[in-house]
Amino acid sequence: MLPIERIFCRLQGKPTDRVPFAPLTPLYGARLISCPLNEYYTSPQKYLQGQIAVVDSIEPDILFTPFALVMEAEAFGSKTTYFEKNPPNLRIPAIGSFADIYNLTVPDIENHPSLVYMQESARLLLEQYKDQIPVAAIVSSPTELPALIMGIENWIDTLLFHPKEALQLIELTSAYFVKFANSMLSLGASCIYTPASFSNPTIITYKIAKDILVPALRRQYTKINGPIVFHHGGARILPFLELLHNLPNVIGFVLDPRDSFNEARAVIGNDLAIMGNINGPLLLKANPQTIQSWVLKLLENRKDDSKYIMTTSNADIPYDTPLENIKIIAETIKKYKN
Amino acid sequence: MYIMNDFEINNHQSILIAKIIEASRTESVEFITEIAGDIGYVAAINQVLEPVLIEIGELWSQEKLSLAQGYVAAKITEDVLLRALETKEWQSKRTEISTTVVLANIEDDFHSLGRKMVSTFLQASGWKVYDMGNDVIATDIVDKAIELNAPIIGVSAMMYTSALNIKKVRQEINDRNLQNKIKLAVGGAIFKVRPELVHEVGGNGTVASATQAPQLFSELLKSITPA
Repeated sequence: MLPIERIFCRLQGKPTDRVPFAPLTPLYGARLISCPLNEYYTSPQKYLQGQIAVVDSIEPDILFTPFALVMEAEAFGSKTTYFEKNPPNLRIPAIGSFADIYNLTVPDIENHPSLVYMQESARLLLEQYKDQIPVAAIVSSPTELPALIMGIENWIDTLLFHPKEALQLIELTSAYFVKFANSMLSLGASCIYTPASFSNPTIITYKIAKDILVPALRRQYTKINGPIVFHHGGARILPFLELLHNLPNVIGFVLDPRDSFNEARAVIGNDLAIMGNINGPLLLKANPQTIQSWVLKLLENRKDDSKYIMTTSNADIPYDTPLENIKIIAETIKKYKN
Repeated sequence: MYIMNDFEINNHQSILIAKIIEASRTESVEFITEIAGDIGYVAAINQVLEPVLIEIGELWSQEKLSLAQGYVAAKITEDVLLRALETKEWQSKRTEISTTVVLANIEDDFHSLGRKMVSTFLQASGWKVYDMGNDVIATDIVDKAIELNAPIIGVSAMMYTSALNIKKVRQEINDRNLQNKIKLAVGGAIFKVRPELVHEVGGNGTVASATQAPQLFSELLKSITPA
């Protein structure tokens, strides 16, 4: 089976030759081609080369557009800092207070260099792997992006104590989200892959999620012209799944490594895909034998789940992760007999 | 002035915890202010707020509370401290820990929330805090600690790569032979995900929530060998 066939059969609950595997390797491509990250995250051609190297060495079933959420915030005016071995991160937020929310405008997705880079990277990937490997477009959630526009502290403060301004900012990020996500889908992306840190109990209260954030997502997701995969955003998502599982256009959830698949299935039922649960950042220091045991445990746990896709959870697989630590996952899946 | 019995103290603590969990900042501050009206700010903070913060810290470290609720606890503490500082009672009675500590986000780290919360909780416990802000290089941090005669440096990082820069602070401390005079507390989201990193970067200790920082700093202060 081709990766694209494997993934689409899985999403429909049809038989596949094996469990699909989708490691989060946007960053790892840079390592494979030894490309400095300030170049990799500005040149779509370099990004494509990196992902070609990922395909050649790891054979993933899904490819991703750049996982650099702060670049979307850059389009709102935030300043970015580049690292030697990490994706770009927030240096200075676009605004310093909730009062400045009214000065923000929706960025021009056709002309802002960061957004052009991300769309062009998607286009090149899709051109290269059309009809072979699905491409998931990583796009910031409209409820998460404010943390990169005004900083985590200010966004929490605004949500807690200035709900009117919080809604105003979500309206703005939503307008951007709908435009940008639909642009990625119109280029041919198979789905929108959206990390949402502000939709879990580690960061935010259940009440704020229920009253402000999830209703906002519900309003915007109806406007997206394709499927959405909801990524846990780096913390346990299970306690909030009951709020999230029937969001429009959502076809699956990537769980946190600490979330239970069985408990998640009990909440979301059998119609949606369930993804995870290799802890991506832990691949850096684990040895292949340990990783193999993680994979086998997951395969056993999900052996009767026709809508399970093995992905890495949390952030990008770290730059210095030994290649054999990723390859062992793919090899173990291929050898596994269900 | 009125003296509360244990039942009243426990009752007040329970009410305050419930209010913080509901993220009710204004109600919480008014509630403590009301208690302070009866027993004074020093007693209200010592007997009600501080034990509640310890409890909140415990719940938070077990991930039973969100960052937002921890943030509310910090804002309530800030608000109460501001009110207390205006009173004569506070100025005459509150015993400050006559020790200054230095806080900073390490070089390349710009995530200030945890550091600011630690600063608030330390000040509430009587510590003097010198906050150096974000993206501070190791030599500047250690220079400032020496200048202020600070026995503890608290350094925060959110990401793995920036956390590795904390090694430079350990190196500075060791190069200047200050291991027995300056202790290094480390914190930030990455240390919850990778606890082994505390040892890797040369930290002398960490805690899982900002509200637990005063306890850690007290332990580190006690561990310093007298000259």
